[in-house]
Amino acid sequence: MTFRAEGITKRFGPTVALDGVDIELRPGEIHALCGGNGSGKSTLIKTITGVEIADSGTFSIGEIASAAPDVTPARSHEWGIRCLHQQGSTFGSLTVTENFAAGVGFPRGFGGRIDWRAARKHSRELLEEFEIDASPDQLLEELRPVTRQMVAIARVLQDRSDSAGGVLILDEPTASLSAADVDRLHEAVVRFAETGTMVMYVTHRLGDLPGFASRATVLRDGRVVGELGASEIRHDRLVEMIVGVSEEELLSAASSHVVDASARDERLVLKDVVGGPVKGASLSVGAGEIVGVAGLVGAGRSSLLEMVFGTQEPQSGSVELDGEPLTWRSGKPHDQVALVPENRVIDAAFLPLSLTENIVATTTGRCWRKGFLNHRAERAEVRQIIADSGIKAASEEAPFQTLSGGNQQKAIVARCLRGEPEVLLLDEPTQGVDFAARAAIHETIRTAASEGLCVLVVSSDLEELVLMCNKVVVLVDGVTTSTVSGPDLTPENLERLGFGEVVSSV
Amino acid sequence: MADPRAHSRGKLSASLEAYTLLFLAALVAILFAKLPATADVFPTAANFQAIAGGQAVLIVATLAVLIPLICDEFDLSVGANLGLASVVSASFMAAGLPLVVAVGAGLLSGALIGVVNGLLVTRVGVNAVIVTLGVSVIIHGVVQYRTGGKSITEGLPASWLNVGSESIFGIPVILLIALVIAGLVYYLLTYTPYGRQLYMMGANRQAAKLVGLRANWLLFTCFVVGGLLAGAAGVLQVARAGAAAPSVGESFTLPAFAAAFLSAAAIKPGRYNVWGCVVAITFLAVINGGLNIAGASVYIADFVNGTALISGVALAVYLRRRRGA
Repeated sequence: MTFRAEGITKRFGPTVALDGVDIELRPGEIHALCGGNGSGKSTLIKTITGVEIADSGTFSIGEIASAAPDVTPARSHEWGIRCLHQQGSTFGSLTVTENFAAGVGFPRGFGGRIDWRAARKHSRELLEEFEIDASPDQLLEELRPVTRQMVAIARVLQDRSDSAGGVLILDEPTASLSAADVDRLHEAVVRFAETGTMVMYVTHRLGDLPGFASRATVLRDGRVVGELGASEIRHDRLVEMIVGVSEEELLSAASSHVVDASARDERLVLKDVVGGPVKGASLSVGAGEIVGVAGLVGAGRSSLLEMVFGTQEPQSGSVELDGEPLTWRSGKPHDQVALVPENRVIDAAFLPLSLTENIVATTTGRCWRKGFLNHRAERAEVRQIIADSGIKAASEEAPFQTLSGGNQQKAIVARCLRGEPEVLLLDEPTQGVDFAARAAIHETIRTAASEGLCVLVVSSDLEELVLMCNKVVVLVDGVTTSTVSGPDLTPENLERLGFGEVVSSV
Repeated sequence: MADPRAHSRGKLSASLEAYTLLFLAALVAILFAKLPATADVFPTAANFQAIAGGQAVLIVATLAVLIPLICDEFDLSVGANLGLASVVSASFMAAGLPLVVAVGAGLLSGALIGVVNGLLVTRVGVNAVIVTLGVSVIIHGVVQYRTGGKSITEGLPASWLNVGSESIFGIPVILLIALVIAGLVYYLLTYTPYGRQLYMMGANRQAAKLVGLRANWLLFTCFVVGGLLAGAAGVLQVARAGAAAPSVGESFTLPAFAAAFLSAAAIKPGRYNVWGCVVAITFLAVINGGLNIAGASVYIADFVNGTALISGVALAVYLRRRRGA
């Protein structure tokens, strides 16, 4: 039994989101779906699950075939298609059992009361079946991120009629996982595949795919660029297909701007900072220097940034810029520090407002002339910024929520730079952003650094740190254990240091 | 994006959306002008002045609702605050104090209520709906206690009452005043960084804090500015009614909210805005005025305003969602 999508086409007004896409999933295979933001991955998933109605094409599973426009969420469900969406919707403050019930309801007893005993039994069975290390009464927020993700997967799979067959779609399931956890999740996915489940696996982390995916389909601009067999799946090959340019070209364009790291005045200095998960962090950033912070999730990376920015107060230690402490005055951040937060939608974006209003958010007063905001001057400045940062939008007045994630992120970086800060803090600046947008953001940050900005960047993407940073500080359990630069600065070294291993300098 | 036709089509539908409500208002006006039951009275200058003059206070009251609403806060005390300001200014006038002092006292009482609301919301952290509801009930009690439930009608200066009844070139003076106030609020919201910041607060408060806006201060001021506008509406109400009735304010809260919500469906779709409020009030006034002349019972206005409130909110939600798609 295979699942086949043929000639799937979907238009949104004049934009063609999917243009005759064919994809075939086979039992026991892990089929990777790759592509940049806006390439049509999400739309394809939505048409398969019936959330969006395709304009034309056909879907078939085994013998059953259906015109694509006729697929509804109910029918897709009936076919055994299950999807775990990007922001895995688990409830942190509820128990494992309650989370399982959120999908299908609770077993009921006399008079409609919840039969807790049956519910717990059901969740114990699921935990066992999916080999999840948790107990039914544990709160989800107490679990490790990978375990939470497993609970989410078990929840979407729990009501399939037979455990074999069916389609499992995973959309960026590893976005919040550390490297070790990614391996654990992959082991589980391989297990599902071995029982005959057809897995469709969507990710930006291309490095995860070789040796894991059995097949990969690459989309660009709503079309299938090509399909790769297991032996052909290589990072560079995928990047080339996704972007349409070879990775070397992108990298060489980027690395030519790295500033020489030698002999600099230290401007931002952290000494023995303690607070929250951070238990003793010291580092310094010089003018024009890009310093990375590596470490596992939970090592205190984001808290460290928050203490520099001022949203979290250190219990002890000092954070100083040019010898002056960085503290909030009258409830607002220090003028000289800007933050690109990890969660764009919650902490940075003004979704209903226009692109212009989002870009000038910190600097609204800039175009205030003779008692009036000069809208024309403002728009002209913003158009220049849009061109410089390569933001793609219908116009500078487009509502921010109509932009893709990568373009929103470019705009937020541009907003921070427009405030002309001395220190720029970046928390996972390119998470969930496609390769081309990632390169553009790196470029923007490098240019700003070359003009003397101090940059401190936290990222789970070790390649990103190696690519961008002059040096990288490694946090292990809240303590800065080592600083890597020069030829030692490799993803492998950072990975090992992050786990507390000692790397002998060559 | 690349297709220029698509862009212009988007612009066309956007401008259609922006003026639909205004167009509907015109359509309803033409309907009443032609309808036999209302054709004699509706399309006359006198009726225009009556309807237009009658909306002036509502325009200012709606602006008082609009400012906190942009910040994503509800000020339910606008009606009561308006009533208090009209009683305060009328009693100062009746006591023979200069007009400027009486008007100033009305504005001040409005702003002070705003200060109380703002402090309770930002300092104590009570939900704004609860704060303003509570405050409005307390105001109502205080006004009843001070006036004994009686209207202030005696001793009001003719100079102020004339403001409520005279016209310049056929346009009621009180409407002109309301439009000038609307212009000032428009300036505040569109041409000052402060207005921008209010919209940012409403769009994402968490992000507003992180980009360096003084969130608590903005929240506090939105209630004070709203209170000041409610005070202005109260003072105008004295001129319009020729009296200060203790419970006059209550009838303003609901239509003001209806118009403020509907404003997101006109002129600048998807965003609460000043001229959208004026269009929404025009729309409601034409319907209510026409029905009134046609001899419809008073309670019909309740149906119209209630429906407008709900459909205004529904429309705002719909437009916001569609712009997001």
